[in-house]
Amino acid sequence: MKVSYLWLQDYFDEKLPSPEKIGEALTMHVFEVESIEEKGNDTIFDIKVLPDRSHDCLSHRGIAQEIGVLANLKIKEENTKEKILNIPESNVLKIEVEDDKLCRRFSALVINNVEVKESPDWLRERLESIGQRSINNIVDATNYVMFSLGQPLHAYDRDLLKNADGGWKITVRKAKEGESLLALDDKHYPLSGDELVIVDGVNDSVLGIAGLKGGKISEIGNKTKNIILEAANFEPVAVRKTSKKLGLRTDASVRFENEITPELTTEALKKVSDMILEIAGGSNTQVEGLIDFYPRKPAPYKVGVSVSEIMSTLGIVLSQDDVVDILSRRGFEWEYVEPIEKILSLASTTVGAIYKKGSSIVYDAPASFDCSSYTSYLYSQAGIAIPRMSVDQYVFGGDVSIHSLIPGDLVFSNSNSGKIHFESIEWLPGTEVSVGVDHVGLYVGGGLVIHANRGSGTVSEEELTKSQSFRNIVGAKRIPTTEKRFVVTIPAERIDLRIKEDLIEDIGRIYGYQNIVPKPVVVSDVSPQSKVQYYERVMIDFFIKKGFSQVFNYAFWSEGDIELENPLAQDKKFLRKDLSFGLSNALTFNVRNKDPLGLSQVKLLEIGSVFPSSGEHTSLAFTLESIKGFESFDDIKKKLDGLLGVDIVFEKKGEVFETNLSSIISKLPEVNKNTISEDLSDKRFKTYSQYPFILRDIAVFVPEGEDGKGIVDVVSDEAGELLVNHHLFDVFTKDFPGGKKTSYAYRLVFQSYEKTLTDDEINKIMDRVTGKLNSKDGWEVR
Amino acid sequence: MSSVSNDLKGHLHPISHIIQKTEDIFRDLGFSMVEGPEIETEYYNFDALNIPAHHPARDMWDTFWLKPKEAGRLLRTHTSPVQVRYAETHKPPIRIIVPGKVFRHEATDATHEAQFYQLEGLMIDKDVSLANLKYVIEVYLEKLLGSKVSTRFRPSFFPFVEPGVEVDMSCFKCAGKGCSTCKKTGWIEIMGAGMVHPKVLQSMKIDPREYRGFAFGVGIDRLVMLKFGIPDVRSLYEGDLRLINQF
Repeated sequence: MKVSYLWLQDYFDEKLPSPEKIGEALTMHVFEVESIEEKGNDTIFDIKVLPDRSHDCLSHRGIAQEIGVLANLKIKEENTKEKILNIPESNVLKIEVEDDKLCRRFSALVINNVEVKESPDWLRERLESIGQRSINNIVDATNYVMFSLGQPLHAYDRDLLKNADGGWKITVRKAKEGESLLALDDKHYPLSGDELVIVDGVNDSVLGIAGLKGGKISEIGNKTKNIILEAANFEPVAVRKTSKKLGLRTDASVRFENEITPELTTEALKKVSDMILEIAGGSNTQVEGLIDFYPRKPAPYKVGVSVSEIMSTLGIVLSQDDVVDILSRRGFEWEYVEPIEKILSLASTTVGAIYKKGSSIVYDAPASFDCSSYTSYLYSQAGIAIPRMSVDQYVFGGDVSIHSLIPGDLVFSNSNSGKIHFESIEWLPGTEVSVGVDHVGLYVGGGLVIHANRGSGTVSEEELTKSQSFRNIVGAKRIPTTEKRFVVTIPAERIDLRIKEDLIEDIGRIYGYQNIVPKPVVVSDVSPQSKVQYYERVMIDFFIKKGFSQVFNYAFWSEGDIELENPLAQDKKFLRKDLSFGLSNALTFNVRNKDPLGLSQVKLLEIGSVFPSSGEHTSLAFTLESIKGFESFDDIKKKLDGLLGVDIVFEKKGEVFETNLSSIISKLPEVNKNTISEDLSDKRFKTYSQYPFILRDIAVFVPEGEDGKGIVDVVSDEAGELLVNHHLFDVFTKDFPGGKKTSYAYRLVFQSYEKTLTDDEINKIMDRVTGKLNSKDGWEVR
Repeated sequence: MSSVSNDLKGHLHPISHIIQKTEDIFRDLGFSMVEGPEIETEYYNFDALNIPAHHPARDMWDTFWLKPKEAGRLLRTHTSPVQVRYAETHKPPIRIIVPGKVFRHEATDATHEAQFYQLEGLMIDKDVSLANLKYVIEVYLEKLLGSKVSTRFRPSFFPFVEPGVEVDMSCFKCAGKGCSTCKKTGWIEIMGAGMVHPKVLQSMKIDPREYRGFAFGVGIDRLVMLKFGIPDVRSLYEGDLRLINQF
């Protein structure tokens, strides 16, 4: 996300540290700053906000809060108090939401008599600094607030909606098949019925696709006088599915699909209405009223962690004071509790709450509970996460005898009615619970249990031995709670903080990962090489010693048995079913380069996964240039069979011999040996020339007894770096008048790193070489 | 100028050199090398690793899907699925490394390939911390690269770990002074890592209250390029002996 330094500065009275310092601090403690660029008098950061922080940090305020924590700077008060909204309910606008799971909140504000015009310079500059286009003052204000707080907003021209009885209505519902939207980007989006849409509740016409894009039909223009501002909260998966389906990704949809808190909407409306009154307001501009559909307000999450849990996970030494310091800098509300005390005191205050099956801890507690939401709630308030379902709590807890219960223990029963669970559902799925569990309560001492009691319809305290719900007790469990814990009330926008590991991370990164000191791991026994690794390496070693070089080719091919849904190219639509195509191509290619490589016979090996219709397996294939008198397939196979003591069946495909390595190794005996890898210290890549090479053969008679090395020296002197390889291919000695002479014949390979050599250039070199060689006493170029 | 070639002995591919060396280094640390299939199911590649369907985190891995799409079969985008597969048949303590080919649906250039090799490491035991992770990574890089290496952790996010970190290593070329390899920063971004997420432990049927673990994932191709000075990742898959026969 693009973030403006000046925009961030707005959140602080004190001067921010330099952009470089901020960049460094964010990178080391929060997220990577990918670039820092000066732009006019501003500096723009490009920050890689990953999904865990996309709930709160796709916003300038989110980033500012992180900087505040790291630089120990206080965020300005007024920005956090904007949540208070003292606006009367609208008399003219109604909201109807079909499904409150998909649209969790819909807040809208009606403002009359605005003046639509160009934005003031400061606003235009702000938006342009982060790559946004200025449209008009109203639309710009909504965008400004989105990039400030992370809450997408939308403005409608109220007078373009249909009026009925002096009022207007906005409905949020699923699209109908055949509907479509002409969006603000002038594109038509056909809708199939899965999408959530915003419609004019009076005439049922589509105004926008929820969380993605508004429609042309209610666009804010120069003639707009009265507006409706929307700040809603849509369910992330629904927005993401629609976004993928329509191939439409917007600044709004990115925020919704990452999930943002529904708590933000009215704060965003307050901020945008203040702005609009300032930059689009006149003498008779008026905020008519607010409408706020918000049926299920989530309670804040509580997450607990102990100092020792933080230390043992991060591997650092930390004091209680360090944790207090970090949580306080963070601005979190927290308490330091002894869990069982907390649970028992809370339990006594909840007696009388309503029993309701399927009660949610987040939305319904502490007003209503079912049996397991009750125990789960009590523990979570004490900073201990236990599973939500009774059967999972049963598996989660440690066994304790019903005769030695202590306060805080959980007692389980099987009422033998309704749904009895016999295995763990979410905690360790599949773990069996033979006794069957469907009820749980909290033992509070003195023979008493407090539980959400279906019978009485309330949370009630009863004698365990007399309770109807506990007639058939199937076990008791204890949750280990020896340590005092920090219990943190998680701010609504920090959707990433749900379990103690999340909190450990948040504390750890502020404390600084640079403080982690390496701690050795104890090695009690060195693990032996696996059979597969051992034989694979033995076989590779065999081939390398025989002169084969190992190549890796691509797994994608133009034909095969398994087809890709989304290939990168038409000639890479399939997965290779064997190694033969790739390997024979590689053979042809490398044979062309034989001379510069200095090879007399090209030999290739490949080991890799192949994907025939019969199933994926590891294949071994080799190929070798067929040259009379040189090593052949039969020679290789014989030696390999001898080495492994088996008869390996190779399939011949053209010049390639291939076999199923997985199946061969499975037939080989177990071993208890290790192979050792080569020393790599002197291995270093040297660029090779991409230009064509030129060959020349030269044969020279020299007096018997002299070696041919001098020939190469002369060529080397004349050709310099252009001589890239040479090899001796023929030697013989012959009688001459005046004595015996030996003929040395060399093949010379010329190649340039800079250009394509011409025959002419090489001929000139060879002329000089010939001249020099002939001038030597007794030497003669043939 | 090359001398007359000795072509008696062939050459191991540079990726194999690094994998073999890696296996040897980790064997001394008590880690076993294991493998898994390149065609994976959506469950092992994503769901079991705490990357649910329709979560924006899925966008972090551009995926090749097999036909028919509804079957939920894909080319693994990391070797992490092998963690879960291994834990189905092995109880903790666990120490494994998993080198293997992985696939990403992305445009290729000198530093990006649609297929490449990844090394996954996993250690699960009763008392494992980020400090142990730091030790293991430093020992590995030092032995592999042949010079003293220090690492630094930065916060990052991968759904299968919590806390999650990005690991930078001190530039082994310039010892942190700043050179072209480290783009003058003294540090080279080398891998993602972290403490195994409790949900992933649960997928492995391991009780996260009893056991903790670390996991890391490093691009082998990237190590190959750094170690040997190879500038273009694509050259590793061209079957060209002008490169391979240098190793």
